[in-house]
Amino acid sequence: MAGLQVSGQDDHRSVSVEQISRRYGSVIAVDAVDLEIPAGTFFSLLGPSGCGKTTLLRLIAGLETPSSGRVLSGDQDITRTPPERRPFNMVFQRYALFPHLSVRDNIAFGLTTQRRSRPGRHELVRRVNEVLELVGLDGLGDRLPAQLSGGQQQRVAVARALVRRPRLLLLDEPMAALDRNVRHQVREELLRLHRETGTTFLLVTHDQEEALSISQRVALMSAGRLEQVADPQTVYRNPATLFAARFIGAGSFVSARVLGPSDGGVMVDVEGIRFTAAAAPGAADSIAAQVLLRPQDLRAVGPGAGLVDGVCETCSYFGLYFELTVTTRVGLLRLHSQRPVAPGDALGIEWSTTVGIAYPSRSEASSDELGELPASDAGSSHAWHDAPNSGADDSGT
Amino acid sequence: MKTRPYGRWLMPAAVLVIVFLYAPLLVVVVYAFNNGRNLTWPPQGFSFRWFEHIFSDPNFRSALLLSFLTAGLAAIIASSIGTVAAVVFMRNGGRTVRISELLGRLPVAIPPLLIGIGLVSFMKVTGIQPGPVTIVAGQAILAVPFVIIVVSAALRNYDLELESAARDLGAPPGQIVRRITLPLIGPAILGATLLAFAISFDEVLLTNFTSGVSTTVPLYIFGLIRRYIDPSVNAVAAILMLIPWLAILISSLVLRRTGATSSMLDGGH
Repeated sequence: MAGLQVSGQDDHRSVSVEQISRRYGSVIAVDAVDLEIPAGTFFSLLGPSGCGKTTLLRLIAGLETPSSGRVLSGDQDITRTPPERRPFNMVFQRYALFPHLSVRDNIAFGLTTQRRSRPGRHELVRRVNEVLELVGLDGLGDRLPAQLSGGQQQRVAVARALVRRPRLLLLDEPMAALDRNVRHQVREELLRLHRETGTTFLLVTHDQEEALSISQRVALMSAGRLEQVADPQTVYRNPATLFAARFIGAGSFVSARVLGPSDGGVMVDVEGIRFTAAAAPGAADSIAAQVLLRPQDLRAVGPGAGLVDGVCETCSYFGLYFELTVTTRVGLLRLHSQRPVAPGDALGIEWSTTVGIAYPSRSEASSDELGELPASDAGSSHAWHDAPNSGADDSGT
Repeated sequence: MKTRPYGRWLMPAAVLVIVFLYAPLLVVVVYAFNNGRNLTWPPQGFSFRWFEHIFSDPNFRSALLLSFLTAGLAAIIASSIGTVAAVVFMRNGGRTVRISELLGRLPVAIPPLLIGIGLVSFMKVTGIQPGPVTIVAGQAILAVPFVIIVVSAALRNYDLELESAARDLGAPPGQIVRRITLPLIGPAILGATLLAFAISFDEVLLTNFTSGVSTTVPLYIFGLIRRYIDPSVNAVAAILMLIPWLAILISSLVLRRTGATSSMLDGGH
């Protein structure tokens, strides 16, 4: 599908925003964000609903005007360029397909809006057919959007945007309106399209599983600011902030005293239990810390045999393992076990001498924002790679 | 067995309501085709004589023409003003806009008599002579709120995100109106126009104040029954009833038709 690739000298220009802010009255939706989206990447903007990620996307698209800051395409300042003249195209959350136009005409729309660059009839038909085939909708071109399934409508929305060969494809929660079993398929579909078109993809999502599984780079947002920008492995293994740690993946947090630096991190004391935890920025200098313990870091052992004893609260089956929640004197712990444990049974829990990540407690404030998250997002009790996703998010931002 | 608490009475009640609504109209239609001179039961034979009679009256023909002209103009004016108003109301959330929206709809609940008195005073103060122009103005005033209501309802189902999508796909504002907005809310505007026509066509109370020496069809009817009950009044009334109904029938047919749209890629594959 080389024909769909962006042509011209602009191939390798990244898109970036500089100190961009958007205020609505006294509410700051996007707060002085700096972000660069390298050309050709599959980039995700991840965050809870209301964190400003959709606003940031619309600022880049030009559908929102920034209160301050700049949008750049390469070196070129496009802050004042109206959306119809930006080389970006968007897949809207509810697709925004034109209900009175057939699939074919929806897709052709974007090729016929600019009189100067309008292709000839033959070329128009060729490009529409090309993109219909690309998204696997050949044969459905004459249907109206209302006659398509949700997944098919989503493909039309993607095709309609890709047919213009945008330098950047913006996707606003493209899977939020889809059934869970369709999402997996759509995700692979998007990856294939990214590979075949070579276009830069910017995906907005509240679903960490979605963001981590398909993107090359993830920007985690909270309350209008960026918490962390990194590749998915780094975001998952080393969340930079307590917010990131709470939002990404699942784990338990225990309160600890920081005793001092140690080989590979900081020595912490959790109710008399001492171990070395990796130190998030600022943790080494603080007195108290919140330590993230991943479910797979902890092991269930017999009562009295571990570092701490507890009583099993719940036991859920996830195919490869059972996930237990256990009440202990250090708090509620979440762990994986190969064997089921009956709720109410006593057990011991142990972990190795080097485990977890310590976050300075003064950033505790950010946990308030987390309190607004649906429980399944914040305290999701299973690892992201096999987590069934929570329900659809509203546009929120 | 399913229990249907109102089941036994629902049907007869519905029939009763329909009879109550349509019986007077039925009488009008039956006697419009009556062959006899008097309005006595039963009607005496079938004939078109009353229709022939009124169409041979030049006063009726000019009244019919005037009604068509004024109602047509009033409908066009009302739908233009009402559509613009509805669009403005739907897109702006400010307090001023909300108050204007309320004021825009309120006249539905104001008796035409009051508006008529107001217009008479207005014409006296400004020295405007009553005539076809003031008839159009009065009818348009009455019809605007209905247009606002119909078009606003259509706009509620119109997703503004479609305009964002069109912009994103490179369409300048004019093209968005032409290719997205109008095709989607056009049928509602047309429906509102025909409704405005129907309202204006049989309006009598307000027109009575604004017509001066001109006569519309409803005023012609009043002329007929003022002196004595002319049997041809039923024929006129049947016509008066039929025309707005036709307008509404056409509007519903047009609305259904617009489901099919012309393709920019006709046969292009």
